[in-house]
Amino acid sequence: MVPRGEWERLERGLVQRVTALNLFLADVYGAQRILREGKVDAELVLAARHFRREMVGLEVPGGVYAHVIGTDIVRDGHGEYLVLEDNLRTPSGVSYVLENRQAMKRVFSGLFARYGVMPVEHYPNELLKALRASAPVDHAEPRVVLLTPGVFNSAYFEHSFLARQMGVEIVEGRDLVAHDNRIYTRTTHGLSPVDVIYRRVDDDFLDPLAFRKDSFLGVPGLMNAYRAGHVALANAVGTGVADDKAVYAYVPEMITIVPGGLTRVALRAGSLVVNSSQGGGSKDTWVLGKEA
Amino acid sequence: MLSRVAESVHWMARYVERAEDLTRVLAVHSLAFLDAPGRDAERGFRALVSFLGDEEAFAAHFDRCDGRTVSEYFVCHAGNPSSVAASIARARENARAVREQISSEMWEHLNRLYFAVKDAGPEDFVQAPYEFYRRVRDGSQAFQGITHATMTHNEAYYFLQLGKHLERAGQTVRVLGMRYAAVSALEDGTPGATLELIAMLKACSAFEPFRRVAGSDLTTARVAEFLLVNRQFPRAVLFCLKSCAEALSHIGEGAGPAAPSRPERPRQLLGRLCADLEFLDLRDVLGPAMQPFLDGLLQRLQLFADELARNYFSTRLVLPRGRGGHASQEEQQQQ
Repeated sequence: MVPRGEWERLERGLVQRVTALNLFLADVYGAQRILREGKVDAELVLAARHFRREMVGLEVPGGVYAHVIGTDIVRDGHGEYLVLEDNLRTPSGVSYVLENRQAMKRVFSGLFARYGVMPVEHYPNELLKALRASAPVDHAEPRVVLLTPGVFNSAYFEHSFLARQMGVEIVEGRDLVAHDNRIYTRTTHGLSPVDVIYRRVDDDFLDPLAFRKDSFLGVPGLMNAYRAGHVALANAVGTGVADDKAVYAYVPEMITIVPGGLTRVALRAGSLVVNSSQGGGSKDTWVLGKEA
Repeated sequence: MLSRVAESVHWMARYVERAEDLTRVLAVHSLAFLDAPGRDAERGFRALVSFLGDEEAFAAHFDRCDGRTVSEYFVCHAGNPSSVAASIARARENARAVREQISSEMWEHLNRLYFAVKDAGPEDFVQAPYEFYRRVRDGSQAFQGITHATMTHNEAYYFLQLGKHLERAGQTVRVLGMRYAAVSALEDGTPGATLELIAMLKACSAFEPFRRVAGSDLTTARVAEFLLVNRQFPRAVLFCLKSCAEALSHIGEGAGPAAPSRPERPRQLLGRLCADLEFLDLRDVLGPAMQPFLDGLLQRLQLFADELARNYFSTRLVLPRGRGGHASQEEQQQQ
């Protein structure tokens, strides 16, 4: 449970952090000012496993690199909130937040009413809005699809769940085809254009022409279409460079140089770095509507 | 809709229907052979194996051909890729791949059916063939009902219906062909012929519906007519084909004027097939002409299935009009 007052502070901090991470990515793949000024070790970034040369100089729609970020937060013995790690590539787990809430509501209906727990159900709606807003073209109904590695992926349940909740099509790499630097779905009535791809496939497998040649999960020619600005990818390619364990230590520093942003470090980096995605289990987190 | 999704729902329906059809033929014949004299039973099971599948593949696994081995091979044997259990597993695999396109009820039901059949052994069938048949039949038929009542009747639904009726049409043609030559060699009204015809009808769940129409007139010609061209019995070939045509007419309905025009070829093939059956003069196909006629039907069904796959399931690089230079170039060339 998170009391309202604490959440508000946390939320401000998270917004700041997410903004800083996106600006960091824009800089790394753009002017590289942060590297030249030595704020972050250039070698550390440019040699990172998730740094993608292909992204340098590529303008992403709306300047947004990481549309969805999973930031793991823990509370230490003094009640202080700490960031355990950021997940900027293809974060998963949000379906558990939604499903857990459904289950908890059935079991503890009384508590919910008493504490005024803040809702979470609007997440898919917000996600769809964010995805549509990132469409590179300006038409009323941009077509969004969710790209999954397939039914044997451990997060397939979530992919399918989110697609249904958002009312968008769930596609596999073989359902998409690149032609003339545009991306289409293969349908029973020929090819149909796609504007935004919410991809849950890792960079490595996204396009066998650009990355791993043995990938069956990707779409040959996707990177060219992306580079041509005809399709948006959420998240962008190469965001992993900002959730590198080594880069993580620099995030408080990054926040201090966000133009016009808050300079106070809202979140203290812990000295221990653990990979929380191996943790298993999940719980419903309640943000209380009023001071309890 | 996505080609992959259309293909998956189509095959999901075909495999469910296939499992039901196979189980029915197995059960009907196993029960019929129970009170047949020893040699007849063995001959019957051999004929059943040759009808249901590859005799060589069967012989590779078993050196006897009796109720037990035949049941084991066709119900659940790991070496048989088209056993009842394998068909249901494939139906489930297809359903799993398109879980968000079908209703939760359909998925749950198919999943239950899968687990009910997955661990079946030959004993389950040998001990109580009818019980096993009923489990699969009820599972399949409930699936059809659940589909009708819970799935949105969109394009995917009609691809599913196409699969079901196409599979059913083929099955009825095959059942008729299985014993037609044998039964037409016998004189109508003899006990041998009567038993064969009853088994043939029952293998299509058609015995009682036939009786209502034909009364006691249980002749080879009447049975063939009923199974081929009856317009009201849901497993008659003509009925199935008309249902296919109905489903096909809904596909591409709402595609709008911007979509590429609907492919003509599948509708053409199906329409001709329906017309040929609708105006069939039974006298032309009775006797020795029946087998070539039935083979021709199966060929044309296969041709239609191939055209469906070619036009809807595999990708044609047909570009939407007005987007991309190539499409407009192609249009110019045609003028």
